Amino acid sequence: MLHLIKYRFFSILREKTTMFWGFVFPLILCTLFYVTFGDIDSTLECINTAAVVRNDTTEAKAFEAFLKVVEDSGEDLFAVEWMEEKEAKEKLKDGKISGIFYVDTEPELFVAGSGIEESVLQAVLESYMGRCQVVQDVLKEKPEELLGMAGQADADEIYSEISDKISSQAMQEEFVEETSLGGKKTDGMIQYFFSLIGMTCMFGCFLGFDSVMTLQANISPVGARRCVGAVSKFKLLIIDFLLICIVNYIETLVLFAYMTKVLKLDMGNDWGKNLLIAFLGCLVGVALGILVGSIGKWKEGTKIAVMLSVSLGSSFLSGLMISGIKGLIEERCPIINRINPASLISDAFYSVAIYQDGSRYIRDVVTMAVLAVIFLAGSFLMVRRVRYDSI
Amino acid sequence: MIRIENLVKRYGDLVALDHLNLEVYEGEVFGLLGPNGCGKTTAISCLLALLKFDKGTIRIFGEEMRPDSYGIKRKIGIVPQDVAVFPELSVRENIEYFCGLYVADKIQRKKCVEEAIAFTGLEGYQKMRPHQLSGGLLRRLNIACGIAHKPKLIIMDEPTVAVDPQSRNHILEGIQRLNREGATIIYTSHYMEEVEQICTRISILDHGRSIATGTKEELKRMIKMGERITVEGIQVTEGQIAAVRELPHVFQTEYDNQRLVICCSAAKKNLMRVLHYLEEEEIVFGKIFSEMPTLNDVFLEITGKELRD
Repeated sequence: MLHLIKYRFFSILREKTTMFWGFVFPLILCTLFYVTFGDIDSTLECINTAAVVRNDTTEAKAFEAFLKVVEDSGEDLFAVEWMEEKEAKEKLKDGKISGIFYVDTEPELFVAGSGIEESVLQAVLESYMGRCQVVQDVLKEKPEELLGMAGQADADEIYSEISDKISSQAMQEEFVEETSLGGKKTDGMIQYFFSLIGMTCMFGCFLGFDSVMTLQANISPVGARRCVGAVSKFKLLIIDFLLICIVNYIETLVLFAYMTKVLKLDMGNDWGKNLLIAFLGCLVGVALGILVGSIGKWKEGTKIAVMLSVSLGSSFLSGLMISGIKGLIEERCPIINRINPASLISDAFYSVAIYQDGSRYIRDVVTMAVLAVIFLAGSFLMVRRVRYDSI
Repeated sequence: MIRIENLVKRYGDLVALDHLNLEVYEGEVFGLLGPNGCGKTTAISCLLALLKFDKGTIRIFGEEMRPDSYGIKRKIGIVPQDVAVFPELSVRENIEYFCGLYVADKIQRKKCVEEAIAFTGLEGYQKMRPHQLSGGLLRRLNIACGIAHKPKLIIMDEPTVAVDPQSRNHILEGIQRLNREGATIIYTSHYMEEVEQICTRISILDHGRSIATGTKEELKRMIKMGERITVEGIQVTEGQIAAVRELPHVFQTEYDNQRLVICCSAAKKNLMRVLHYLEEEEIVFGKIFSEMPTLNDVFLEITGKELRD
């Protein structure tokens, strides 16, 4: 029996296409993700701007205060230089600054281009304007509450004070801090990497598919030869199943190790739970491939199309391509997240690493185990069929 | 050794095997001959318990053949029509893997593999992958994978399809050698020359039925034609052709493009009589030769169509 295992292991490992998509491709994608998202903060340099004071109304003073706070915030997001309009325009023309803020009753921004830096400056102004609008709305609709709250009689004074607070809080501290129940800070980017692990597990379906194709007499000549051998088909299927699970598991662990040890991503420290998630994920992926491969009536091309759709669709819905998709599904149709294997895998990792939510983790792994059992039972029933209708 | 009785296999409305009856005896090379689509491969698949069939019984080594008849399967080797090997494994690894489906003992298996490699002449190609082999070598590998475990019964389903003449001769000689070493062989083909060359008994299949079974001599005796005389480079009149047809034992003549074919029943001196007539009539010709009937003639006479239609 050992030699059967040995040679099947060789044949699986030497299948270049499957190994590329299951082993090399996730590493490449991971690296690309890391280059794109992983170090995005450090790619922004300090943006030089000019501020030109046009008048000294309360609103203008509030914006002036905001800019000074931003400049002194220590975030090194941008530097503000106070100067006359003529000088500012010359510097903008020479490319020494990226934009000019006009301190006025209605603050304005003047830029000479449409790059990232200009977009950041615009976002800063819009953020300020948005927060001012909130205060103005409250003052118009429920001035008594603000007056009562502040204990002040002069609305302008109150407005100025609140604007100052908005300005200072805007950069020095967040109004709302995003945090998980487990106390760890959430990270939108890490979700991509969890989904990538989900995709790698799901790509195990191609290994399962290839394997079952070489075990069915009505599909391949090798299948016919193996079926007429003196070793039961059930034993051959078990050998193949275990081998491809191991190969897919190794692929996933290598990817996981690459993320944590090479890219230094924080994927959580509970190795036991992480290993179990990866194992169950691989089990589901491989079992799905065997199930699709063993559906007798479909042509090989149809089966491959189904596999691609399922594995990539599952990964897409787990947030591999668009980060917000999983949240959207959770709002509109949560059942998809409950049964989508890639979502379950990424969610389980997220539960362990970020939420530290035991019940959610257990729900995910139990669902994965149930899915694996269903897929396996279905595929074993179909593959162990004794005689074929046609070959 | 094998007894197939009233085997019926239908694919919807198409009857692939129509009450097929066959008996294969130990030690023979049994040929299943018939045109493409006559049911040869279907019969083999049923024999190996791969295909469901609608009616009939199959017994091998005195036992009913079932998918879990591993005792029987251990004694059978299969060389399928399509090359059935793992492309990722080398020549030697493929033979070892498939031999391992039958032989568990490592030492015995190694010996079997060595012998199969030597038998098929693949010594110099052991480390090569299948895609590096020529068509003929691939067929040899296909055979090696099927015979390495030294089966008592070897089923070969058109093993020489798309093979060059040199490799074909190598394969046919190998089959005869296996038979001499004690293996019973079932050989399917639509190449009548091959079947005539190596098979000791032949069954001709058509539309899923065995239309004639016997040794090649027995089969040829079943038909009217015993000798075919061909005269090339000849010009004859209608009257002369009619006169030839009146010669003793001649039952059919065909004349086309200066080529006269004379079909005679089995008798002595048919050629002498034709030559004598041509001499008497002073008819000039280029070449004359006589042939014994082929299996194609048998097939043609029984079914009314060419074997290679």
